[in-house]
Amino acid sequence: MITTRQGKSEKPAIEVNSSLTLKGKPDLYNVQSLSSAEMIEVEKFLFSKGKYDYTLSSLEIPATPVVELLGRQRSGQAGQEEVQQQFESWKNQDVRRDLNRYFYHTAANQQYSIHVSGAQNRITYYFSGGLDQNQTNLTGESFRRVSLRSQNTFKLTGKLQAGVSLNYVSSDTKEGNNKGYATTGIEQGYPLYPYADLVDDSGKALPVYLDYRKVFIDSAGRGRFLDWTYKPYDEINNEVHRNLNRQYTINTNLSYSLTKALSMVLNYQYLGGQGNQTDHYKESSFYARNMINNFTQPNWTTGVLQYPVPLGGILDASNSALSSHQGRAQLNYSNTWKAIHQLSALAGYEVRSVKNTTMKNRYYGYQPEYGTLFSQLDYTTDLKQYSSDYLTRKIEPGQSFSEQTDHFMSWFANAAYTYDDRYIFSGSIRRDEANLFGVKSNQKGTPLWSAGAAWVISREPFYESSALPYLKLRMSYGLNGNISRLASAYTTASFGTAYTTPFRRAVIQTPPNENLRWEKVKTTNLGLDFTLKNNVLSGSFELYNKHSSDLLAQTPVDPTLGFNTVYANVAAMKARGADLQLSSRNTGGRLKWQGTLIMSYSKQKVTDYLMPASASTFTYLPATAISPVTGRPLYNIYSFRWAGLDPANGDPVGYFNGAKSKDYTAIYTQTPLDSLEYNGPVQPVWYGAFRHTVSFKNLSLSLNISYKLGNYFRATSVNYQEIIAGWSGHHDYTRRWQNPGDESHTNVPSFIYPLSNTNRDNFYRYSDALVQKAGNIRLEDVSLSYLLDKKSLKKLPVSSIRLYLYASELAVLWKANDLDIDPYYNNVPSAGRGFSFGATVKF
Amino acid sequence: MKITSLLTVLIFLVCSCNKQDFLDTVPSTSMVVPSSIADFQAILDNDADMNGVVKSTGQGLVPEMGEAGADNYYLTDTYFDTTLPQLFRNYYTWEKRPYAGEDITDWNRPYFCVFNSNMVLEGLAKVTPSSGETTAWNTARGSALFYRAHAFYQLAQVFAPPYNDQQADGLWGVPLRLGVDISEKISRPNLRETYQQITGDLLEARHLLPAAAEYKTRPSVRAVFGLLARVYQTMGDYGKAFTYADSCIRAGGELLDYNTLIASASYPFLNSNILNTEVIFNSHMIGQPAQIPVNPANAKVDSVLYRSYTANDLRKTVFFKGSDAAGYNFKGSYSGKAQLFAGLALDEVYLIRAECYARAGNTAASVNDLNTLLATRWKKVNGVSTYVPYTASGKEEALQLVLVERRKELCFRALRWTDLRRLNGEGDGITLRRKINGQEYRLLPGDPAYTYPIPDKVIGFNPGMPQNER
Repeated sequence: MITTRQGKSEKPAIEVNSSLTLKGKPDLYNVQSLSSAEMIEVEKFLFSKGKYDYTLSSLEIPATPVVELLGRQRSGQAGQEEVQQQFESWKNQDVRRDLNRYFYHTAANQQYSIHVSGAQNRITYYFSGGLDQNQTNLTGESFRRVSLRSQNTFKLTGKLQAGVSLNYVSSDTKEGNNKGYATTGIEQGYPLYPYADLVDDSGKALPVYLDYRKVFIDSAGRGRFLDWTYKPYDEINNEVHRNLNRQYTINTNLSYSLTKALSMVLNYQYLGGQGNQTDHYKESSFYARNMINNFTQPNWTTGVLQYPVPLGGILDASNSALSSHQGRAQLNYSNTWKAIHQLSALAGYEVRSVKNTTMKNRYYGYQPEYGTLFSQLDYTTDLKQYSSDYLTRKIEPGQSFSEQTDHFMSWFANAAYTYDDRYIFSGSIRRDEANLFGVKSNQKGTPLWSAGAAWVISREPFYESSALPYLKLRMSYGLNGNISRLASAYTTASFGTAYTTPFRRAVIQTPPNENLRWEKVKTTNLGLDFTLKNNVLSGSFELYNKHSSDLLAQTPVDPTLGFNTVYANVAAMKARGADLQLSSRNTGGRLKWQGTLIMSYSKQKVTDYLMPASASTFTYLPATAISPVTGRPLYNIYSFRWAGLDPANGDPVGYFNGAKSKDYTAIYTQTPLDSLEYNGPVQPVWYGAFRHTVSFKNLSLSLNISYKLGNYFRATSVNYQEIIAGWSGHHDYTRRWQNPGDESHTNVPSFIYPLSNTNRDNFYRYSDALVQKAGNIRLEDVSLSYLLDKKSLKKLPVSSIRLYLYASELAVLWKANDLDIDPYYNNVPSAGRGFSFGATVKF
Repeated sequence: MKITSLLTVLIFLVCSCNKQDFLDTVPSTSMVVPSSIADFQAILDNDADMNGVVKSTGQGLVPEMGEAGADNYYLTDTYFDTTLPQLFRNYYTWEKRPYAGEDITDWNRPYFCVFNSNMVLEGLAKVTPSSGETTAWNTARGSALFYRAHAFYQLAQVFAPPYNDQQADGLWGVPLRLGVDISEKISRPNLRETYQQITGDLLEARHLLPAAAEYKTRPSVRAVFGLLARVYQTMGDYGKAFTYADSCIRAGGELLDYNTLIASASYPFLNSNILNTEVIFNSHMIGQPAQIPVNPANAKVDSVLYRSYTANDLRKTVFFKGSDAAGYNFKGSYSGKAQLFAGLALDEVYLIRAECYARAGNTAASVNDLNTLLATRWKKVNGVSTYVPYTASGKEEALQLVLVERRKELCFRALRWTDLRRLNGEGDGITLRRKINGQEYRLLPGDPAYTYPIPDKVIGFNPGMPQNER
C-alpha cells in the first residue's frame, strides 16, 4: 500500500511540473568490430581458400556482396577494374553511419504534471494529472502515458475518517521493426556486414541480402512472386507493434480511533485493467512477404500459384484482462506515559488476489483498408517451402490462452518502545504466504522477524560533549526469507496438444525436488550515528554480517537426469561488510557547500555448496554460474593459466598437469578447479559515491561521483570460428600474431585456416590473458538548479519557481583496466548522455 | 462503538476465508502436478519428446551419431571444409576425441525420454486404479516401459560397445536411471545388465499394452514384438529374434505398395498411407535437418549403394533424387519430410525374419519373405509387376541376399551402424573408408571408434564413471 500525499492548507496548493529529457544516441563505435576494409580482406582471404565455393554453388545460404563479386570475377563476369573500384567504395562505407543517421535519434522524454491539494473544514483533497510522452533512441518507437489521480479524505466524526482515491493510467507503446545495430536476417540470423549500405544518397532504402542470395530472389517465382528483398530502412515502418493498456484503481480506507492511542485502519483496493497488444506485419513487411512467398505452391504446368498463406498482412492480437482485490486490516497504537515512556506498535493482516487472463490470436490475409481477413487456412498440412530444397513447414495458428492467479497473504506486527528518548527497543515479525506452485503447504511461507535496540548516548546525563552533540549506537538482528515462483518441489508439467496426434500432451518443466526449501538470510547489524557541532559533519557507520542459507539458483546438473540445469537450493554464503556515510556542511558564508560520501565494503564467502559439483570445470567458467568453491564469493572469474604465444607459429600456450601444453581439448575439458587461476569476484568489493552540492544564493550545483573497485571481468577478443563464418569479427583480429617476434607485444593467437580444433578458441577466450580489473570511477550526474521564491522576489506572482538542469551518464573518470574498456558496456553500444531541463511552479 | 464488537468482526473476516484453498489455487491454468492416470498418459503423449516427431523441424529422439559414422553417405570436400560444424567433422572422420565440452543432444534427448518414463512409472505406482481404469493404467505403465526400453536401446547402440554374449559381463553398458530423484548417484552397469533391462521392460510391457495403436506414436503389442525382434537380433540371439519377428508380422499391418507413391514428389511419403500400413512405431532421428552430418540436403548417397538398385526397383526413384554429376540425396524418409524416420516398420521386421530363417537353414521361407517384401517395391506395368522373385540354393546364398536387400531397404534409418557392429562381430570384416581433401580415413572392423565417448559434462558429474576406450 502506498501512503500518498494529502492536502493540508486552506487555500489550494497548486504545483505544476514540466520537464524535457534528452538522451543521446548509443555509441555504436564502442563495439570493437572489424572495420569495412579489414572485413573485406578477411573475406578475400577466405574466398581464396575456397571457403565460399559451397555457398556460391547453392542457393540456400546467403552471401555478402564481397563474396558475390569475387564469385563473378572468378567466373569472368566482372573485370579487374570494376572489382577494384567496388572494393574501394566499400572500404569507405560504414554501416554505422547509416544506422546513426536513420535508425537512431536522440531520445526525448517530455513530462508534465499538475498537483492540486487543499483542505476545507473536514475534507482534504488531492488531485493530480500527468502526461508522459517519450521517444526512445530507436526510430519508430514512442510511448505515451496519461495518469490521473484523485484522493479525498473525509472526517466523518471526531473518531472516524474515511478516504477514497481513484486512479487511472492509460499507456500507449508503439514500436516499428527497428533493431538498430542488432538487425539480422529473419531465417538464419546473419548479422549486418560492416560495409552494408542501408540508405542511398537520396534517402531511399537499399536492400541487404541476409536470408537469400540476390540471384535467388531475382529469379524467384519466375518473376511472379511478391518482391522478396529485405530493406531494413523501409522495414522500420512496415511493422507496427502496439500495446494499449488501461488500468484503474479504486482505493477506500476507513480509519477509526478506538481510543486516543489505539486506532484501526481498514483498507480495500480494487485494480482493474485491460491490455491490448497488436503486432501488425503489414502487407509490405518482409515478414509477411517472406512467409507468403515461402508457402506459395506454384504449378508451372498450369501456371497457377496457390497461396496457402493468403496475400495481405499478418496480425497477432492479444487481449488481456487484469483484476486484483486487496484488503488490509491494521491496528495502530501510539502512546506516551509520564513523558518518558513511549510505545508505538502496529499489527495487521493483508490479503491480495490477482488474476490475469490473456488470449492471443493470429489473423492472416489482414487487409485493414478493406476490412478483410482470411479464415480458411490449412494448419495441418506440411507444405514445401519455396526457398529450400528440403524444408517443409506447417502454417502457425498463433493461438494461445493463459490464466494466471496470484494469491498472497501476510500478517505482520511491529513495535517500538523508547525510554526517555535514550533507549529504544524495536521488533518486527511477518509471515508471507503465496500460492506457490508445486510446493508443500508448510513451505508456502515462513515467519520473518527482526529485533533491534538503540542507545542515544548523547542524551545520557553523563555525556557532555558540545563538539559531538549527537551520538547513537544501534544494533539489530533479523531473519528474512525468499522463495521464488520458479522453484517447485513437485514435478510440474504444462499442457498443450501433441504435434502429430489429437491427444493432450504434458511437457514436464521441472523435475521433483523434495528437499526444496526457502532461502533464509540472518543479518546482524551494528551501527553508530553521529553529528558534530553545528552539523558540520554528520554520518553513520555500520557493520553487518549476513548468513544466507539455501540460496536458490539455476545450477548445472548431470545431463543423465534429462535436464541440463535445475533450479534448486544451491549454496550457503556469508557476507561481511561495512558502510560509512558522511555528510558535511559549512553553514557560514554566502557560498554553502554540502558533501555526502558513501563508502561500502563487502566481502562474500560461499560456506557450503549443496549440489553435486561437476569436475568438468568449464561448466563454471561463464560468470553467470555460482562457483562451487567454498571460501570464495558467489560469482567469480576463473581462467586458464596463460603461458604466452608459441614464438614459432603464434599458437596459444597453456598448462596441463603442471606443464606447458597445447593440448587444447584436454585443457578446456579436463582442467580441475584447483588448477584454474582465480582472478577475483565479479561483484565489487569496495564501492560508493560522493555527492557535492555547492549553493550561492538561489543557485545550486551538485555533482555525483561513484566508484566501484576490486572486481574483475573478461574482455572480449577475436573468435576465429566467427571470422571463418565470414560475416562479422572482432577488431582484435588486426592485432593477431603474424610473424615470429610478435609474441612480445600481443597475446592474440595466430589465425590458422582451416581451424581444426574449436578448443583453441575456447582456451584463449577463457584464459587469464583476457581478464581485466573492472574498477572504475564515474561522473554519474551533474545538476544545476535555481530557486526563485517570494522571499527573494516579493513581486513574484506565484509562490515559487524552480528551474533545473540535469545531466547524466557523463564520463568515466578512471578505469582500472588497461584496454580502455568501460566495464558497464563491455563490447556493446554504450548509452548516450542524458540532459534534462525542467521547471516546477508552486502557486 | 464497542471495541470488542469491532474486533470480533475483524477476526471473523480474517478466519472466514478458506486459507488452505486460497493458497492452493493453481497459479496458471496450463500448469499441473501430474497425479491422475490421464495426466500420466498426457506425459507419454508428448510426441515431440517421447518419439522425437516434430511439427516442421525439431530435436528428434534417436541418436544420429550412428548413421553419421556409417557408410550410407558421403560428404563433398567443399561442404566438409566450408560449412560442416567442427563437431560433425569430428564424427565424420571418426575422431578419437570429438567433443569440445558442448551439450551432446544424442545423449540428452533419450535421457529426457527416460526421465519422463520414470516419472510416469513412479506416479502410477502411487495410483490404485478403479475397475474401469485398469486398462488405462496398464496401457500407461506398458507405454512408459516401452519408451524407456527404446531409449536405453538407442543409447546402447552408440555409447556402449557392440553386444557380445561371451564378453557381455566385462563390457560397459549405459547408465540405467530408473528413478527421478535428482540426488541419486548412478553408475555404468555392464552390457549384459543393460540389455537385460531393455528386454525385461519390453517383456513386461507386452502384457500391459493394447494389441495395436491407432496412432503409431503410441506403443502397442505389435511395437513390442517389433522392438524385441530388433533387440534380440542385435544381441545375436536369432532364435528369439525369429519368435518375435514372426509374432509381429502375424499381429497385423501390411506392406505399402510403392507403386501407389508419386516418385517424382519432393517427399514421396508425404500424404501417403505409410503411417497406417507399414509403420509400427513412429520415431524420428535427432537433428534439425541442417545440423547433422546425414542432413538429407547435403549428404550424398554412397555411389556403390545407389548403383545397387536396379532400373525397375522403385526405391531408386522414391528414395533418391539428384543426378550422376551432382550426386544423389535421400528423400525417402517415412516421415514425409527432411527429418529422418528411425522407428519400427514392417519392412524391417520382414527382413529380420528372413535373416533368422536363413541362419536357421530354412532357405525357402527366407527367400519367400524377401520376395513378399520386394514385390511391393518393384514397378508394375499395366498392373503387372516386373518383379522377378529371388531363388537361393542354400543357407549362405539366402543370407547374402537378405543382407544385401536389408542394406538397400533400411538405409538412413539409424540401423546401419548397429548392423556394421553386429556383422563385423561375426567376422564379416567390413572396413569403412572416407576421403576428405585427399586424406583417407578408415574404420576397421572392431575399431574402438565404433563406440562414441561419454559426453564431457556427464563424466564431469560422475568422475568415477569409466569412459569408453578410443
